Amino acid sequence: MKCAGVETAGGITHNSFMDQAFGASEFADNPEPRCPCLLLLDTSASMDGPAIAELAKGLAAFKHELALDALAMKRVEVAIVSFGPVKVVADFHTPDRFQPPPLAAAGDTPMGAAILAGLEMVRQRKEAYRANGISYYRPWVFLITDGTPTDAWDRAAEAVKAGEDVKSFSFFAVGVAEADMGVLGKIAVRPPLKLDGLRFGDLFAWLSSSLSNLSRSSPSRPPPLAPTDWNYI
Amino acid sequence: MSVGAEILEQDGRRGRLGPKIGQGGEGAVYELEGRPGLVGKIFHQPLTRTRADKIRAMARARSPALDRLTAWPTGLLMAPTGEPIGLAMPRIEGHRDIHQLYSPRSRRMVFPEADWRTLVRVAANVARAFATVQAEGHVIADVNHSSILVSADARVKLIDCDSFQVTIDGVCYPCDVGVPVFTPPELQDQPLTGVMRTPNHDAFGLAVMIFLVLFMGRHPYAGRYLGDDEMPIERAIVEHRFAYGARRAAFAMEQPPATPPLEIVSPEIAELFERAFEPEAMLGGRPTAAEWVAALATLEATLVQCPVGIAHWHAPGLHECPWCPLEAATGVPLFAPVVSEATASLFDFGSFWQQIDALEHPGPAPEIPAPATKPKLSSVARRAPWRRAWQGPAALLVAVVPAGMAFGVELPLIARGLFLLAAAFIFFLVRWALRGSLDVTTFMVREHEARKLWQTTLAEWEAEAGPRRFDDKRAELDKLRAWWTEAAGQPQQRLRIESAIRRAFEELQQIANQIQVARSALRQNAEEVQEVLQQMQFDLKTVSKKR
Ligand SMILES: Nc1ncnc2c1ncn2[C@@H]1O[C@H](COP(=O)(O)OP(=O)(O)OP(=O)(O)O)[C@@H](O)[C@H]1O
Repeated sequence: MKCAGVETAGGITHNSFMDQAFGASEFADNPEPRCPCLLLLDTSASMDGPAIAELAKGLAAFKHELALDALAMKRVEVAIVSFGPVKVVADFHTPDRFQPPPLAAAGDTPMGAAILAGLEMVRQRKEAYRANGISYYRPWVFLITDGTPTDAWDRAAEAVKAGEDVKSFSFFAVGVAEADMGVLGKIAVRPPLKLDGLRFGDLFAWLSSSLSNLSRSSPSRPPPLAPTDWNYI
Repeated sequence: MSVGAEILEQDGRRGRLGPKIGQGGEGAVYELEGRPGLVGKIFHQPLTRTRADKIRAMARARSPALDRLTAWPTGLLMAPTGEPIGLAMPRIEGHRDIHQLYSPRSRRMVFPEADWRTLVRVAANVARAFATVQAEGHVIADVNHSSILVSADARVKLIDCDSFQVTIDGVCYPCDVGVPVFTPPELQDQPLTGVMRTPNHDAFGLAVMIFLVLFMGRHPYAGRYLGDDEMPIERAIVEHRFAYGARRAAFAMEQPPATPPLEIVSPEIAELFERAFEPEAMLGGRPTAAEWVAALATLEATLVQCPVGIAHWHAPGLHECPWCPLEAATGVPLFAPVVSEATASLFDFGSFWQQIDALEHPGPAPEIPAPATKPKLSSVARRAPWRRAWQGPAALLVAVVPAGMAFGVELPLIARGLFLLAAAFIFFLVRWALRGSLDVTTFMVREHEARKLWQTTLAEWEAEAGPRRFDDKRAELDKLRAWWTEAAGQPQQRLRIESAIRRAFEELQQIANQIQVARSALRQNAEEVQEVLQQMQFDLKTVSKKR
């Protein structure tokens, strides 16, 4: 049953629980503050083989580690955009409802387009939070790639810089194997991280424990993300 | 400090830390070996002198009333060197974090028997606990979602008591921390170090907590803000933007969608919320814990049950049940199907069982795939046949020198004899050295050991990543189901079985989760062990063939 909101001029709302907004059910079920985390995953042809398998394994472990923490289970939300070609493989969901998707490697590396698509998803998600009176932590965006963008990435880099400037998200870039660290350094404001070998397991273990910590803190006062932590993985 | 570490209790009793049972920002909580009723909190940071004094003073100020409602410290814990490292306190069992109760989704899982009446009672019990602590001259100060624990029968315990602001024998030991969404406007945006906290500050956190419990986990200041800028909860608190208040429009706030209006909690309680959140309350006059206790007790006594939804208790005098339209509009069940004695027959066993059936079976432990790379002969194995073939000739070659000396040069007979002996000795020595590890038996031993390791690894893999624990729990559930069916006409009995079923279902879900974790955690090790075994088998086969 869907009832339209009965709003009158003058800002008085009648019967506000009949007033539907996008995602109202989900937020009625679980009104906890949200820590959104978007993963931008390179699934271009060069990731084929052990790399994509390790990545998928890391993701599965990530879900289960988050699900062991009762508060993170209600607060963390994960979404995935894969690129090669750009595809939203999972929209924002709490760990209990997030299913690590099957990943297949193919195509080139449209990193610029993926970043722009991802940032748009983050913007829309924040809209949904605001419309539903759900408080949220600054979203985390994680770019994981093993290559060089095959499309124009300057607009994406600008969007990242603009977003970081007004603190609308934190953007992290992780380079694997032959990744072009120079370009990543130009896209991300924070220094990019070079992943040692294919240690996706360690990367996601770090990410899940950082998100657990974050979800225990207060939305506007996140624990500092120690750069040492970050370089350590 | 970790499990097994030696510790000293305040009275000099020696002991050890048992398993870890909890972890917080400031410390970790352990069982204490041989002290079943107690647990120990060990701080991550060394304890300052004032902190240690505070704990000692708190242990002195224990009282039966405090013990009933809190995990009040019973004494200081020290390292064997006498350095203070933590505190001992009564162990709280059978309780869960209050946030598991107030969010509908976790409530259905963790508190399946809670209806709105339970929520009113829990709210009253939280207020009672606050009142008790304050009556002894203390202030909770750091009110937050994980420092209040609740039991299935609505009892409440306050933990993390060492962060209270306590006044003992005229000395005030302050609290330096606070969780912003429970912090009153007058204390927002300022360091809390050294700030004197008051019951009026507590009254703000208490009102927020009661609101969360009565209003389905919604924060009173998390509303729809009509401006364009960001409105985090802390800012909304500072600016008094109570999203459900009568004056919300003046503060550019609307209630979030799918939330009931403030009035559903009775005019009296609505009035208490207004008083707690109005700007004037910064100077004092927020409803006290005792006022909440009285008002909530009255509400509980006058609750009406909705004829449609059995869990839908609500305040009297409303023209309709507030929960029915909310559930209808969102499709979200706000409570788990409720089992009360009178309504036991209404428990929807079938639909609950569907949830159990819907839980995906983890399937057999995935096979550890054979290593993708074909083993190459290891260098030892590669050298083995060569060394075996050459050991005789090589030894002979080396022995030729002393033998030559024995015959070639003019020497007394005894010297010739000695040289010959040396030659023989060298011959055997070189042969023995070259044989070294080439014996096939060496390879057999190595292979045997690798195989043994593989077998234990595989057994561990099966136990942790296989479905056995899941199957066992599932079988237990099926047995409970059979009992439940047999218990027709015995509501008391059924009630007990139903709560056992719920517990077992929760455990089943945990097990499913643990299996998944084990699958990712143990796999790499198993693969490595298997690879080593393959290598050993290949070496052995090759070496024995070439013999
Ligand atoms: N008395 C107790 N009995 C059983 N479990 C307890 C007890 N006290 C604490 N715990 C468990 O340990 C966890 C951490 O405890 P507590 O919140 O006191 O630690 P903390 O480090 O002071 O936390 P905070 O992050 O709030 O400062 C709790 O969430 C709870 O699960």
